[in-house]
Amino acid sequence: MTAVIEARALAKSYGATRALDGASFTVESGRIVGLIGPNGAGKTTALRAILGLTHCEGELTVLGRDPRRQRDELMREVCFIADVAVLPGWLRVSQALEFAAGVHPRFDRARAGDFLRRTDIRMKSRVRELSKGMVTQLHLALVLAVDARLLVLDEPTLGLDLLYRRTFYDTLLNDYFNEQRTILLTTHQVEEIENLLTDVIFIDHGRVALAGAVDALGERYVQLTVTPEQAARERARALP
Amino acid sequence: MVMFYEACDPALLAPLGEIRTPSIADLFVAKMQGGARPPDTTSAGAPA
Repeated sequence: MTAVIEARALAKSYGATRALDGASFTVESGRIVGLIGPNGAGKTTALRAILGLTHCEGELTVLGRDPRRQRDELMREVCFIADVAVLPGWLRVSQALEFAAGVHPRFDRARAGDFLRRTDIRMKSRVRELSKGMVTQLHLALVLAVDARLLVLDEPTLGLDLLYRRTFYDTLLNDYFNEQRTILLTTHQVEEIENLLTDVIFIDHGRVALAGAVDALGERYVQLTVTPEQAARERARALP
Repeated sequence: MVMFYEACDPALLAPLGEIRTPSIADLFVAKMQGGARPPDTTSAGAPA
């Protein structure tokens, strides 16, 4: 496997707040990686650094490039989607596709159109006229039509109900993901996507608390549940 | 009481209670409640 992202000792402060405090991690090619942490842990700052949207200290390489200096080249091979509420309400679906085609060299408008034809979304509709589920489908159309090596998703299903969240991830897995592509995503709904993830990075207070392949973590950790009766029995046994 | 052990033989823990492989969500909660530590120094037996 080759590393898609190599981050060493990333550090970034906003005033007195350390958003990233020496975070180091590696993302290999062909993996689905969950960047997971509580609010304010540094997830979004890490994503912004990976995308070259914010400067940070430390060593950072994404697809062999430095996002701080080679952002234009990097963005040709990266697709980034923030949460699904970012599309403005006045935008027509056709305009969203035109915009994506204009800003991303690897956006295949025909592919997006094919996907949308399988839905109830009309090209003339404005985003504000679409249900939340339809907006999700529109986002999926935009994502699926970009031939990117790295897909970065920041809370992509925020505010969606369970049905649409599941549809989003199922479509992503079945229609988009392959071994040439890598997905890095943040979410608060860990339980829902843990079967989807191949790797996790837990981040807290700007530092990596745990990182590894899901399979390996399953072998490395054991959960022990002790009932009060069992605890009392062991305590009694330990007494002289 | 729920506890998490790292790199520990499950056979040693089995007599003490019910053992299982933790879910990612369980591990996440345990790690966050235990505080952030570098991955190579994560200690075993952090209570959840």
